[in-house]
Amino acid sequence: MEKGDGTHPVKGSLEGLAGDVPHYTTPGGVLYLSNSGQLELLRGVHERGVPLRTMVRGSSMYPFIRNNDVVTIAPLNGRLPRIGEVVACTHPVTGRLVIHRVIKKNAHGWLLQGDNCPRADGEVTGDQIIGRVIRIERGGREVRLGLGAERKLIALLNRGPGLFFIKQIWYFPRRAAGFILRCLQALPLYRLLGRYLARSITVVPAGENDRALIQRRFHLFSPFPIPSPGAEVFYWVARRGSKVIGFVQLVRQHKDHRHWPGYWLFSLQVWPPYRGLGAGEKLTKRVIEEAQKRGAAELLLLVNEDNRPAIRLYQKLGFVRAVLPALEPVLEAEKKRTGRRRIVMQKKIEAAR
Amino acid sequence: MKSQVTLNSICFPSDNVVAREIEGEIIIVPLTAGVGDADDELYTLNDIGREIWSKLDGKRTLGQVAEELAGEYSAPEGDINRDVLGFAAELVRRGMLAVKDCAS
Repeated sequence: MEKGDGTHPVKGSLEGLAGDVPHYTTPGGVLYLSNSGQLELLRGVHERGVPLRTMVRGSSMYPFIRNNDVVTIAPLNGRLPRIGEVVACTHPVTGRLVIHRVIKKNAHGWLLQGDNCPRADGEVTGDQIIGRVIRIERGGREVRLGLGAERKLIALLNRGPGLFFIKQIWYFPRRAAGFILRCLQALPLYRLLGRYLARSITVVPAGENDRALIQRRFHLFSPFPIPSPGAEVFYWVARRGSKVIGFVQLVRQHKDHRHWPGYWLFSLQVWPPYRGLGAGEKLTKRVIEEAQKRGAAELLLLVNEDNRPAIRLYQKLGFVRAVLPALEPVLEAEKKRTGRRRIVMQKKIEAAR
Repeated sequence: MKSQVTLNSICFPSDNVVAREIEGEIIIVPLTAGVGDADDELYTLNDIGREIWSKLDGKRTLGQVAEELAGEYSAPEGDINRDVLGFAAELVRRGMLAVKDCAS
């Protein structure tokens, strides 16, 4: 599990220092730290010889450590890591802070691998291992599975394909159900029925509870990219009754922003069981309406070029493919890193009458 | 340990916190029951707080800190004194600063 992927937030509080003079207090908020910042924070706490308790992100240790779990990482204090232990270390290739399991001891170091990763990270030496995970908390409760006596078995299974096959068998029913649902959602009859059901779907501004739910579900501590100074961000959720089933953001970046100036639609999400019912269209239309109200001349968005359903939706609503020269090198670099290419789509907006 | 702060007080980071400057932020992690808790409690300081914090070296009194800041920011001495005392008192109350009185 990477503890911090690029610039993303460490959960914490920009506490209001409620002194007599409020102008130096900032109540509430989320602190954004890069992976290297989190590494530095961990080292700083461990220099005092005490553990650090913090929330983690990522799925590389799923199911034993999950996204948004809170882990306590204790310093090793000179002792050697043991097979099966989950440790925080600097990745041998990327140098980033990761939290993965020790699966083997070699002559020159230790072999680490994420429980949900198909390959080992590589060999790390003792000085690259910063601490070990001694506690996992999920939903306010301690989770022991993965840190107890079974940890050596997990490490052993991870040396070969054993753990991978066990997970394939375990998750097969869920994957099969998801596949069947996606097939159904692509059927015209399903979508026709969805238009009838969509009448009960409403789009409303997201409240604090909604945003907290979105953060827990999609780890969106902020819109991407991180808003620059002077940027504005607006959030909406789609509801079916009282249940939130989708989410979208409108971000207005400063006109001098290097890569992302202007109005952007970000993070359109509809929960899988509710796709094909028109929620995505309603959310997108709401963003278009808001951008028009604010005098935007155009609305931009990014979408994966292989996400045909999303592209069809955007085309239906008047978006066309566009090229932003300043953004192209960023998107190409992203493709090399992730294997997926995003494209820009643009919609010209008429002034509101 | 006295919790009341005056301009004669000398304040310094408490042993109950870990404070680091990371990516331009002063990040303060309280040590709760021997654990640095960055999940439930983590503090950062705004610009003024950072300025004051950087001068709390355990050698200067709060009055001296205020005097330096008044010179740097050309602000009324009374306002600076109030800010420094208020800030220090709040952090002492939260256990992030320790305090000792200067005898002279």
